[in-house]
Amino acid sequence: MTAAPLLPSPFSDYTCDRACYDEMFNRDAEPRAHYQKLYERLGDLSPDELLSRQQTADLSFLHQGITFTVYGNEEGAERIFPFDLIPRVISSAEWKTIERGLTQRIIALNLFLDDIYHEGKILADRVVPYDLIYSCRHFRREMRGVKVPHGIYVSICGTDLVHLNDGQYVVLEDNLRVPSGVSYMLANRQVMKRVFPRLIADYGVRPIDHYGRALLGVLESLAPPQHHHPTMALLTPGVYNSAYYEHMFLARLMGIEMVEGRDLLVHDNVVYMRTTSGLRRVDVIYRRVDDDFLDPLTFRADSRLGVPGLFNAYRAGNIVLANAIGTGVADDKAVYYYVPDIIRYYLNEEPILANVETFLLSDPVQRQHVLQHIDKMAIKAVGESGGYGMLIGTHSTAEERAKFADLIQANPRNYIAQPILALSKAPCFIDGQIESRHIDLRPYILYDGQAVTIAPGGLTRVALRRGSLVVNSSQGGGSKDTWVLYD
Amino acid sequence: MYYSIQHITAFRYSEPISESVMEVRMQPRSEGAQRCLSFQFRISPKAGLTSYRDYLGNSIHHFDIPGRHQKLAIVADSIVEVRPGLVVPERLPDDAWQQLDGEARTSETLDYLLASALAAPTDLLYDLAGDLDIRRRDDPLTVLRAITEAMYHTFEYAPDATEVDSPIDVALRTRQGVCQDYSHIMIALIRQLGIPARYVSGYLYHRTGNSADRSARDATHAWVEAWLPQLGWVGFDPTNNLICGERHIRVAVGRDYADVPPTRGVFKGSADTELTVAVKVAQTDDLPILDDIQPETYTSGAMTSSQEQSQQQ
Amino acid sequence: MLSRVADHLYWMSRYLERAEHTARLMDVHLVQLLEQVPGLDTEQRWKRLLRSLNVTQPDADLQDIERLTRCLTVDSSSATSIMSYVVVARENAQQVREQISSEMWMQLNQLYLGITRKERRTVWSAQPYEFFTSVKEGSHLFQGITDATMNHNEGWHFIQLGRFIERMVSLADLVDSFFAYSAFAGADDYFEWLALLKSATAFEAYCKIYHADLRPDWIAEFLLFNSEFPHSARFCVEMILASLNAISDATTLHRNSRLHRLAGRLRSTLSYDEIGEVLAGDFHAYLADLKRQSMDIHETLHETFVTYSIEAALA
Repeated sequence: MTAAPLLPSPFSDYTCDRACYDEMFNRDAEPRAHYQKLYERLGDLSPDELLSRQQTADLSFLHQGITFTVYGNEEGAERIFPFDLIPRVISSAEWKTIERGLTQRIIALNLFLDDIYHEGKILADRVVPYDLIYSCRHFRREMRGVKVPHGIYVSICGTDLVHLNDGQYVVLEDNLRVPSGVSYMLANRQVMKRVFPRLIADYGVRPIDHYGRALLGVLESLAPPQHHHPTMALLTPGVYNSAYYEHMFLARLMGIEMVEGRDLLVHDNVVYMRTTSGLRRVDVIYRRVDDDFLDPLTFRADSRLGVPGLFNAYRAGNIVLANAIGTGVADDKAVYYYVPDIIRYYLNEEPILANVETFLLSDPVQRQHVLQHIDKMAIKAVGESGGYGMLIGTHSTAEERAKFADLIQANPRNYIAQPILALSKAPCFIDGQIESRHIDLRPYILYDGQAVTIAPGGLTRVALRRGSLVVNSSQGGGSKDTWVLYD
Repeated sequence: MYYSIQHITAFRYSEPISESVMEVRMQPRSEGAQRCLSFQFRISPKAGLTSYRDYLGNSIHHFDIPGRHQKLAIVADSIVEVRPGLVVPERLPDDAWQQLDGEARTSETLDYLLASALAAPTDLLYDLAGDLDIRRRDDPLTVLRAITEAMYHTFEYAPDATEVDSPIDVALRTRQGVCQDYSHIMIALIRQLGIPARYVSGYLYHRTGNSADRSARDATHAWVEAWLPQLGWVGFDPTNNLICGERHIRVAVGRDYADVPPTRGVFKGSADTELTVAVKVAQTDDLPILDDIQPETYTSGAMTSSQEQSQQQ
Repeated sequence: MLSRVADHLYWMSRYLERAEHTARLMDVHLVQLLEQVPGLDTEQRWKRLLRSLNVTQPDADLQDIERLTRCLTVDSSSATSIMSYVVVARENAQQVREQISSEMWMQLNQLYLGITRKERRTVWSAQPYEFFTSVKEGSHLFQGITDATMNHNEGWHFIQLGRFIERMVSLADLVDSFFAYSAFAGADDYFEWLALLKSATAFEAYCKIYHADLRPDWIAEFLLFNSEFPHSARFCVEMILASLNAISDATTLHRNSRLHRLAGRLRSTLSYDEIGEVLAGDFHAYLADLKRQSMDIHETLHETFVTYSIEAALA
C-alpha cells in the first residue's frame, strides 16, 4: 500500500522495512535523534571514502589475526570475522533499561543455580518442575551440595537480546557456560577509533576498554581469601578451538597465563601447572572448556582437553573455576521458559526484560500447536548454542520440517519452539552501498557477588546475507561496533 | 550382627604408567540399620588419601600417584554392624499406586524414574516386560516381589556372559548375566511402572554350608532399591530372589553402575590393565575386636572365617 | 613460563633456522651447478649437499635436479623440505601466539603465506633465486622483529637457544661434508671452498680477516673458533651459555647445573683448541663430537625444563 519512502544518497538503496524495527529511521523515514549525527556524517562521505575506510578496517583485522575457526570445514580454515563499518547506536535511556534488566536476570539465575544444587526450594515449591531439571543434559549431579565461592555460579555471562518492532528489547537466550565474542566487541572498538576518530570523539560514546580489568577483578574476587596474590590462568581447549583467538586475546589483556589441560596436573587435590621453574600452584581458572571435557575422571572419560582430578580439587575448594561447573542447566532453552518465574520467585520483582514467547514441546498441547504451525516457527535444540541444531520454519524445506517433526516426536524434551522474530534492522555497508540487515545484541555481564558490571554496549551481530535472520559467526554472520551514548 | 570385610583390588599394567588418579567407592554406608564402625584404607605405592561424602551419602576416597609404577594395590578393611531393619509387609494398601504417583514425581525421587545410561529401556526390555506380563496391578510391593522372582527364574547366572559395561541388551538377548545385569534390567523394568529405582553396590554375606544364594560368593555384589510410599527405599536382590535384609551390606547408591563403580581411574601411559579383585566377608555375633583397641585402629587379621576368591570386576 | 610454551618457542626457532640454512645451502648449490667450473661432478655435489643437510637421499635419481630440488624446497610431503620446516615453525608459533609479539606472528605468517601460495609453487623453478631470497629474508626479518619487539625474557632466550643449537649442529654437518669431499676436488678447488664459505654466509666476513686467500685450515679456524662471526661454532656456544645464564636467573635452575657444565665444556673446547692440531687429527671425529655435545645440551635442556618428572619436581 505505502511504498517505502525514498531516502537521499547514500541511503538511496536503503529500504525501511515496516515489518521490523529500524534502528536508524523512524516510521516516517526520518533518522532517530541518537542516529542524527551518524546519518549526517554518512551523508558527507562518498561511497569511495566509505569503501576505503572499510578496507582499512578489514586490513587491520587481518593483520591482527582476528579470526575464528569454522567447524565442519576440513581444513579447519581460519576466517576473518566480517566487520561492518557502520556502528549501531543505543541511546542512554534504552541502555538503562537493558542494564537493569540484565542485572536482575543474572542475580536471579545465580540464586536459582545455588538453590537447585542445594536445597531445591524452587522445585519443592513446584515453580519449576523436577523433571525439567533432572532431565537436563547440563544438570551436574556431582555439583549437588558443593559450595562455590560467594555462592556465585555465573560470573561471566553473555545474553542475547533482540530489538522488536514495538521498540522493546527482549531476551532471546542466556549464555551461562562459556560465552564468547567479547574480544570482537573490544577489537571492533579499537578499529572504529582508527576509522572514525573524530565522530567517535564528538558522539559521546561510553568507553568499554576497562572490560579486561573488570574481568580480572571478578576472577580475583573469587580466589580463596588466604591468597593475596592468587595465580590465575585461562584454560583453553587449544589452538583448534573456534574461539582460540579470543582466549589468547583475553589472557594477554589480563596478563595471565593461558594454559591447556596438558599443562596442568592435580596432586594431593591441588592443581599445578608445569613451568620451566617446576610446578606452580594455580588458584583460579577462567575456563573456556565445557563441563563435559574438564575432567576425564568425573565427566567424559574420552576427553583429552581436561585435567584428571580437577573436579575433586574443585569440590574441596582448592581451585576456583569461573564459571562454576553445572551452569548449563540454567541456559537450557526449556529452563529459559521459566526465567520470568525464576525472577519473580527469588527477587519478588517483575522481569524488566521480557522473554520471547516460547513453546515447551514436552507439553502435549503446546507440541500439537507447534507441529501444526511448524512452517512459521523457529525450532531449537535445548542444549545447543551457536545456531546449531536449529530449524527456521519460514526458510526450510518440507523435508527439513518433516525431519524436525520426527526429532520432536522422538524426544520432545530436547526441543522448544519460538515464533519467528522480526529482528531489528540497521544500516550496513555492503558491496559499496548502504543496505539494511537484521541484527541482535549480546551484552557481556560480569558479577562478583557484590556488583554487576556490564560493558556498555556489547557485540552487535549482523546477518550479512540479505533477508537472513541468522547472526552466528559460524553461519555467515558478522558484527559491528556498538555505541552506547552518555546522557 | 557384625561383619569384617576385606576388599583387595590389584591393578597390573603391561607397561609402566604414571600420573595415576583414582577414585574409590568402598566404604560401607552408615544409615538406618547399618553402621560402619571402622574403615581402613591402604594403597601401594604410597599416596596421600582424601575423602568426601557426596550428596547421596556415599563416601568417596581419592588419591593420585605421580611417579612411574606398574602395580597398584588397594586394600579396604571395614567392620560393619547390621541390625534387623524394617520389616517389609506382605503388601501395601490398595491406594498405594495413587500415593506413589502423588509423591514420586514431586520430589527428588523423580531422578530415579528417569532413564539412566546403563538402565535405559530398549525394545528387548519391552519384549521382556511383555513376556513376564509386567504391568501395574495389585499394589507396588506385590508387583516388585513378583518381578524379583521372575528375574530370578528367567535369567541364568553366568559370570562370563557379560562385561562390566555391557548394555542390558547383551543379557536380555542371552537371558544370562551377573548381579549387575539383573539389577540394571530390573531397574529399567520398574522405572517403566513409575516406581523410582536405584542401584546399590555392596557385599552379600553367604552363609557357610548349604546356601541357596546364586551370586558369586565373596565378591562385590549389586542389587536394586525401589522407593515405596510409607516405606521409603526397600532393597530387592533379583540375583538371589531376596528382599534385602541383614546379610546385605550397602556401600554406595546411584542411578546405575556408572554412578558407583568401586574404582575409577585415569593414568598416563599406554598399557593394558589386568585387574584382580578379592573380597572376604566374615560374620561374628560380637564386635570382633579386643576392648582396648579402638575401632579406628583396627587392622585386619581377626577374621573368624575366611574364604578367598578373585574375580574380574 | 609454561614448559610447553618454552618447548614451542624453542622448536619454532629451530625449524626456522633450519629452513633458512637449507635455503642458503640450496641457493649456493644450484648456482654452483650452473657454473661449469672444474671440481666435483654434479652427482658428487648432490651427495655432498645431502650430507651437509643431514638428509637421506630422496627417492630420486641424482641426475634429476628438478625432482631433488623439489624434495628439498616446496614439496610439502617431504619432511625435509623448506616448506615443511616453515609449516612446522608456524604450527609451533600458533600454539604460543599469546607469547610472541603480534609483529612476530604476522611476519612468520607472511613468510608462510608467501611460500605456500600456489603461483609461487609453479613459478619457483624459473625463479629459484627469488624463492630462496624470500625464505632467507623472511627468516632474517623474523629474527630482527623478534629482537626488536619481544621482551628479552625467558621465552626470548628459549628462541635464542633453538636458533643457536640448530646453527651449531648444522654447521658441524656442513663443515664435515665439505672436508670429506675435498679429497675428490680437482686441482683448482677454490670454487668448492668458496661454496663452503657462502653456505655459511661467511665469505665477506672471512675476507675481512684472512683476505681472499681461501685456505682450508683458515676456513675451518674461522668457522669453528672465530668469536665474532655469528655463524661460527664458538659464537653459537657463547650465545647458548648467555641464554642459559639468563634462564637460570629467571627460573630455579642453578648455574652449576649439568646443563651449564655441558655448555661450558663445549665452550672451552672451542676457545682453546688449535686448528693445526685439530686438522692433524681425525677432523671428522672432532666434528662428530661437537655435534654430539650439542645434542647433549639439547636433550638435557628438554629434560630440565620440559619433560622433568613430577615426582622430582614435588620432592
